[in-house]
Amino acid sequence: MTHPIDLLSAFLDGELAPADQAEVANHLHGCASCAADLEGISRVRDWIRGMPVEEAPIPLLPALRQPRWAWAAASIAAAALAVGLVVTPAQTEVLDLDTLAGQHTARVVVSPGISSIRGPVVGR
Amino acid sequence: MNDHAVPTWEEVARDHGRRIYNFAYRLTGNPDDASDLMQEVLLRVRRGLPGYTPGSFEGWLWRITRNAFLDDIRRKKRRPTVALPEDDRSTLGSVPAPEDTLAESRLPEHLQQALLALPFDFREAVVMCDVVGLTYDEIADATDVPVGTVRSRIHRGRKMLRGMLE
Amino acid sequence: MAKRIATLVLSALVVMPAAAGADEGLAEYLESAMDAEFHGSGVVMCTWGADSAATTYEVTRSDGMSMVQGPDGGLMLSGALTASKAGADWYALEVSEWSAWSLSDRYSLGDTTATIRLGRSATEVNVMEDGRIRARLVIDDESTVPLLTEVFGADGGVFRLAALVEFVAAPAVDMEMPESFMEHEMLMYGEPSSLLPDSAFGYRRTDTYALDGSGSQAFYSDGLFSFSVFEVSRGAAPGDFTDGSSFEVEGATYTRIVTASNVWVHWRSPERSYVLVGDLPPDHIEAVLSELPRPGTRGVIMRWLSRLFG
Repeated sequence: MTHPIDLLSAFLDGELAPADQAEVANHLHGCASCAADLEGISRVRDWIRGMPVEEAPIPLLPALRQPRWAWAAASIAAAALAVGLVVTPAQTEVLDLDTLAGQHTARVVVSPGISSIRGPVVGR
Repeated sequence: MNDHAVPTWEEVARDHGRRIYNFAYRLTGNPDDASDLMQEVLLRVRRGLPGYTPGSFEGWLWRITRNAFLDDIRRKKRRPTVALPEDDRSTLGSVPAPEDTLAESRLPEHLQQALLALPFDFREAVVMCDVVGLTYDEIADATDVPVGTVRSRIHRGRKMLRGMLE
Repeated sequence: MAKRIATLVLSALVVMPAAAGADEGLAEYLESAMDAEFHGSGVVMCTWGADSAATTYEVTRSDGMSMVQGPDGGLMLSGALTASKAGADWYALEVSEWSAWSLSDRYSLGDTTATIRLGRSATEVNVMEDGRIRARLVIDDESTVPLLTEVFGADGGVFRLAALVEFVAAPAVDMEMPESFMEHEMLMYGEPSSLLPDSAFGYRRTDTYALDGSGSQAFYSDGLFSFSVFEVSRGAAPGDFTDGSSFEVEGATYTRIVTASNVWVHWRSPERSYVLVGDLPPDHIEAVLSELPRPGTRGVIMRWLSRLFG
């Protein structure tokens, strides 16, 4: 079998059909590079799974109320300013061409076409 | 939870509230957004339970959670979805002692930052799998994509995390 | 992969004569070339009338990620995420949703010829549009990457040329996304504008995204070329079009700017202000513009009302 690179995570999670699971296991016995890949992926998986469970700061059975979206938005904007982040203004009446170029490019590159096959060009 | 019984709203809140909060926290890196999202999901669950037909409860719940999250982003339009915690800058700027370097890369803050740097689809798949503990089928159900797509998103997400953390 | 493109191209030629429906060989090529792994540097140049612009660029694509460098900065692409660098900081922009891609049936594959470019065996392919040559590609046989792309205008002159001058297939590089972004924004679907058509000159409006404030970005594509139309309130300032040049389409006046990779067009209709940006050739732009809201001024009463009520 060719290197089952895309199947390693599913193998690790026991998410392959039994036949595929066995085939990948078999391959791993003889392939040091896939075994090393698996080890790396497994380490990352362990780290993420080992992240602490965050406790909700409010009781889990809250007296239901409307979400505090507006308050949260304001507090994040304030936090963002505190660490020097730029917060996009809600109302933009000036069309900044660099921003538009970025938005256009972002959409162009997800589909095939003459610009995406040769690689996009930076800037406008 | 038995997949074929219709849970009450209190059961959902009790059994899944913490998981929803953790899902939201890992996706946003922000406790305020996470608790708002949890509340919104519980509201939607309460509204939706009468119409819920027994089937894949996990798929149903996490589809609601995910839609609430996407609606939130939509409402906030292009407000940043990621804000660095205030203390991160100093952490990043300090030079760890050599023996600390390996441990450093596993610190929850670093892992969280790496998660936030993933493209959304990958981040969502990894968080649903490794934080929430859903199966690939449940993730496929919740995100409305084929299970093969889930498989590749999880794998590519983990690979990118590895690249950032090792 | 080595002979795959040649085989694709040849089988398409044998199976379907030119101009017989959406060309599967061309469609399959465009899809596969998007993921081809390579490192290259080159130049891209665009000419429309007396306006012309050029720039150099460097691209590395590997492991599903791309890195692009140019004189104006750098980009990293991974999936639907585009990260751009400003100073030492990275900013991410991610597209949340987009429609499936399809190729217009006006394009087909023309003649193919074996050739050598940059010392590599390559295949020269003409892309035909309704029987005329619209583009010429010189495709690296091993990687399927286009080493040369020429797009022609209606007069047969080269509208855009992109030529790699250095090329390495399947480079052994480890690319890493930045560890964090100063800002991570998502492009979300918005309400399609009722003033813009669902299609214009064979370009389908595939997606509409919301802009900050009250505007929208409509994305149109015919599968080969694409453009965005940004629609905002009539009073919005149109960025820097002061150096633009005027041109006319069916008696109406527009302003254009030509950059190396795009053409920009600005105009105001009686209701809204528009900016179109894309890689489509001038004759296509003119045909498209004639199907979009036309430039014009508001009547005296409308101007008076808007001054009263904002």
